[in-house]
Amino acid sequence: MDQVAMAEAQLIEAAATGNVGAFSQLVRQYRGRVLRTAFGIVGSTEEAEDVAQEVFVKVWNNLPRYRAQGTVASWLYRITVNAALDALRRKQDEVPLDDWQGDSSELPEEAALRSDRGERVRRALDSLPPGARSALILREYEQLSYKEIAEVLQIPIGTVMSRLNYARKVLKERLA
Amino acid sequence: MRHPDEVQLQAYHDGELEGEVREQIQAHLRQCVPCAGRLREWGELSAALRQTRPAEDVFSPDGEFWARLAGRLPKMRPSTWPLVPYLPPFLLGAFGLLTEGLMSVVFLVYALIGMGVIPPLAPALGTWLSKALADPLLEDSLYSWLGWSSSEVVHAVTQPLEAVSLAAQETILILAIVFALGTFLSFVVVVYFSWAMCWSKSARTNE
Repeated sequence: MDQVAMAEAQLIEAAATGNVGAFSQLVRQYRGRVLRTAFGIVGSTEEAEDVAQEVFVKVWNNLPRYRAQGTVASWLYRITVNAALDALRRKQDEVPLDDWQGDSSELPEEAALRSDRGERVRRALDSLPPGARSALILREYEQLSYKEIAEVLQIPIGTVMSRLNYARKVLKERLA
Repeated sequence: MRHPDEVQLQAYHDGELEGEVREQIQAHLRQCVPCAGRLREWGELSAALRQTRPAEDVFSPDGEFWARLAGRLPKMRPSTWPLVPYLPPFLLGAFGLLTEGLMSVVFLVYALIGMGVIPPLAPALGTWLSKALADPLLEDSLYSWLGWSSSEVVHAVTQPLEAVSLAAQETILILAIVFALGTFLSFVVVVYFSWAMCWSKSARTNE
């Protein structure tokens, strides 16, 4: 185990016993990745923040039961993807898909973020099925390897490859 | 080499291929203009996607995020014993199985009596029922509260039984036992489904 992994394991151990300081360090370390992944799936900063909050509350509650199978990062990505997909499902339950006109509560920062090209890419991304979108976000935003994506999504590497291929083909068609 | 398919080309683009396969595709791409064009298109798509990757400053600052999170952290963590959420279905299933087992035994006994393998149980059960109904504990509590005497109760219950044949007594007693066990089983089923619908949420939302 290298020094970084050892320091991380100590942090996890301390947070699991209720050390809030250690947990805050853990949050600082992973906040960016969790927020980016959540944003990639739900498509709005406001909702991504809500998902990230939910993720870290779950992590806090489940830390005493955490057993190091794989890396901490892949455990966190898994919780994030599941929480973001749950948020998407809740949103779809609230607003019928036919009536979905995009996010009207968009913040000014988001509007700035969405240039013409960016806007089209984002819309195309939002139209992908959740499974394909999750795989693509983990690859393109987080640059995870196929093996890491398979570990996070708990699917075989072959399925990761076919999901990525499907997602990219659909995006390419929609952006053509 | 044949043209690589889209999946292979994307794996190459993502840096997932190693060794001979990678070298073969690399060599093919140097010679094949259409494949090099396809690879370039995947590269452009990746670049476009990465441009939509949000910058750190579009989210609330670190301190603000933590302040909001700290307020949401429960002071007491949920139970740490991982089997707790699974105990209700386990216990209910065990009760259900036990009751089913008892019912099977009752039917078996009834069948064996009918075949004459074992002697009729009705006389013995009748005696046991009379004794149970005449229990001093019942007489001091329930009967005295209702203003009954134990001999009246025993007479009221056993007289209709004695008026019918031994075989009919047997059937009535068996049906009474099966009815009691069946009622308990229905209760177990109702509690199980209530648990599954209302209380098991915490078990399903750990991750």
